[in-house]
Parts: sequence; C-alpha cells; structure tokens
Amino acid sequence: MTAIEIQKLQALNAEPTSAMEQPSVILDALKSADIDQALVVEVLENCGPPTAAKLDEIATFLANDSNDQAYWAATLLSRCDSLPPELQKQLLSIAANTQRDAAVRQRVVLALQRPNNIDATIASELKKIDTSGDVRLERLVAQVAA
Amino acid sequence: MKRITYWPFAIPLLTALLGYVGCENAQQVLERVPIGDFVSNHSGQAPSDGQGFPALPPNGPTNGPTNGPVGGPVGGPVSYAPQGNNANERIRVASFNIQAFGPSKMGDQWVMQRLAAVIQNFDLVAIQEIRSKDQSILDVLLRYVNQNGLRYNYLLGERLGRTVSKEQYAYIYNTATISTEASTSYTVRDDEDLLHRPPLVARFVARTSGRVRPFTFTLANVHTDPDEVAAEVAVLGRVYQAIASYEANVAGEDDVIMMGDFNADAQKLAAVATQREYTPTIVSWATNVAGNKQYDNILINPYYCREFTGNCGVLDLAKYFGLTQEETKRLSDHLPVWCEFFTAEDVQRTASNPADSAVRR
Repeated sequence: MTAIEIQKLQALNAEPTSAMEQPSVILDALKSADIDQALVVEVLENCGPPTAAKLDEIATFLANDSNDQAYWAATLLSRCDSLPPELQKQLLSIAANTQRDAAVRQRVVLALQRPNNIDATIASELKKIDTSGDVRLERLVAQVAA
Repeated sequence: MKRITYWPFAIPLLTALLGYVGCENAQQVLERVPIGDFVSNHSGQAPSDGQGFPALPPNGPTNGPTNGPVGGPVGGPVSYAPQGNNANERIRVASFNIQAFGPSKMGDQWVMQRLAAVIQNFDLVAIQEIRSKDQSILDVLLRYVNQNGLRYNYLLGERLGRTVSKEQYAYIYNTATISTEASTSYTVRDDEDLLHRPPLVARFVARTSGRVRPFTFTLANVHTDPDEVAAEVAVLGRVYQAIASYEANVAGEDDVIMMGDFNADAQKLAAVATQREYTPTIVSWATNVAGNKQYDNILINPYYCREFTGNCGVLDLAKYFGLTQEETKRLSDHLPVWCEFFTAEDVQRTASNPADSAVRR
C-alpha cells in the first residue's frame, strides 16, 4: 500500500461513511503490513452499509484466500436490506463449503439473515449445509431458515 | 454487600458459559518513568478537586440531556465533589472504550498524555478495544499515567476475536486505592460461541483507611460486536447471571458489576434483563463524542450492590480538555462512563446516602 493510499485510508477513518464509496481500498488495506490494522478494522466497523452499486466490487473479496478480507466483505454485505439473487447464491456456496474458515462461513450466513428478499430455495438449501461441530453456524443457519 | 447463603440460579448456565481461565498477563507496577509533563503541554492544568476525585463539569456533559441521570443523587444534579470526610471513603470505577487503541495511538504523545489524564481521574478503569499485537501497549500507557508518582497497575485479558484482528480487555487500577490478584481474573468460557469477545472478569478489593470491612467486587468487561448487537445483547442477562452465580459459589461475592461498550442504550439493556439481573446506571446521557448515542454503561444489581453511592456520570472529554469534537475523536469516539462506590461493605444507610432509591428501572 502506498503512502497516498494510507493517507486516503486515514481520511476515510475520519469520515467512515464515505468509505463505502471505495470499499476495495479498505478491504485491500487488510493485507497491508504498512498500516495499523486497528485503523482498518475501525473504518470497516463504522462505515455502515454499502450501496447497491458497490455490491459486486465487495463480492469479489468473498472468494479471496484472505479469510480477513472474506470475513469483512461478508460483514459489509450483512448490513444490506436486500441482496441480488446471484449474490445470494454465491453466499450460499461459501456457507456450504466446509473447507472455508468457520468465521467466514458464519459471517456469510449472517449476511443471509438480514435481507428481506432471500430466495426460498436459497433458504431451503442453506438448511442442508453441514454445520457439524459448529454450534454458532448451526444457530445462525436456523435463524435464517426461520 | 448482602450475604448470600444460597444461590439457586443458573447452575446449568454456569457450566455452559463459564470457565475459569487464569489471566497470565497481570503485570507488575512500573517504576516512575517520566515522559514529559502533561500540564506543560496542555492549554491549562487538568482540572482536579485536589482530593483524588474527578473534577467533572458541574452540570454534566454538555452534549447530553441537561437533566441528571436517574442514577444520580436524589433531589438534585449529579455531584462531583466528595461527600465524606475522607476522599478514600469512596472509589470511582469507570469504563472507557479507547477506540482502536493500537500502534497509532501508542505512538502519539498528545493522545497518550490525555488518555493518561483520563485514567488518573478514576480509581479503576475498564478498557475496551485494545488492538495491538505489541503487548507492551499498556506498559507504555502506564508510564504516562504513573509519571507523577502514581502507582497504577493493570490486568490484561487474552487476545479475542474470530479473525486475525484481535481485541483485548484490560483493567487499569490505582494500587493506592484498589487491590487485586491476577489469579482472580478470567475470560468467560463461551461454549455456545454467543459472544464475539467473551467478558474479562476480575475480583477487586477497595482499600480502606479505617477498621471496616472493605468493599469487594467483581467486574465483567464487555464489548459487543457492533454487527451482532441484537443477538449479543439478548444473552447479556444470561451471561451476567452465570458470572454472578459463579462468583457467589466460588468467592462468596455478590457485587457483580458488568461494564463496557454494549452498543446499546439503557432501555435495550434493561429490556433483556428479564429476571432483573442488573440495572443500567447510565440512563439518559449520550456516551459518544458526537453526543447522540448511548453505547456504554455500567450495570449493577442494586439489591446486592448497596455500596453504590448513587453517583455516576459521563466524562465529557471535549469540555474536560477544552477540545473541539474533531480533536476529541483523536482520543476516542466514546466517552468514559463512571460510578462511585463506598469503600466499606455493609455501609450504613442514611438520608444522605441515596443508593437505595437512586437506581430505578
């Protein structure tokens, strides 16, 4: 991450709500060794829900090898009242993937809790995912299905 | 404190929620290490009443409602002056979310001096949001706190979190007025994974000058996940009850105080205390710098915790330091909340001791 990008991040921290205009900057910063990660997490916690126009950009981080980036991408999506059907499918796919990090899977399921337009088929498929050994994931799935 | 002879509650919850994991990070008191004079770098001397109590704004926070909290003394606004003959008769316990307390703040002398000044106002401060891989961060903070000969110490919890980004709780306390032992501290075992950051619990004893039984109490430090507030706040009553049951059984302690950043206001916190496990003390004041939200609180059970004097409040950092809102946010976006307690157990009730009637649901 360049000095300019770090300055940009610090500016976004001063006004977190504008951070969602450039979510990639924030999510990329999670992999930067040059910047205080406490600052990055602070921005992500305070920036609020993303706009519909930024959902695809955020979704690209879900498939990322970085669990932190996937976790926070899912967290941002969990603040949305509505998600496109294709994105719901992508979230379901990650939730069902037992190879993924448990915290990421849990956040992905959380992202499927809030929207008021969750497809009935998605909800039904979610009920079938393997949650063995993960009481929190099991609880979150049950809440979506309900 | 009321003696408990039998505690019938929540034994199943105790086994489900609570463990006893010794905190191994208790630190020794640091020797005095001056790092500059706070006052000389400040526009004016930090206000103090000279008796060890916070010299807070006489009318409460400027950015909150002008009326005092329900938890304040009966018949008037919150008093910020000691009411006894000896300042040591009371202690003030605070909770402060030092937003993203990590390397950036640790390296900022302006910030560290003011954080130290905040801590010096209280006998004990529960800290949330320590986000630093460098585990010397509290040693550094204590060098600022103790630079004028004070002897504060701390208990530091384990690093908690579901991602690489971890967070820690801590208690910073004045060894002249409070004592504790690291062996009494633990992180609540959360087998159901209900909380992102399970509370850090520790037992403390107030030092008293006279031949009285000292006030003993247990603190539980909490920071809920802002993205899962509803789910986490919903179980706080259970968590409080589990801790209270454990503390009663193991230590005979009934004064359990839960404090921290709940990301929820007093109304929401009270609503989930279905068995009246606790009562929020900070009722009507905003606890963020912007002055429009109430996130932080101190929860007590007034039936047992009779040492609560009824005095409590929010420290308005902008007014205290003479800062703008933007400057204040360099310290934190939260304000410290505090409560006052008598240092003696079984304190005699008088008309001037409003603790019985001060806290209402």
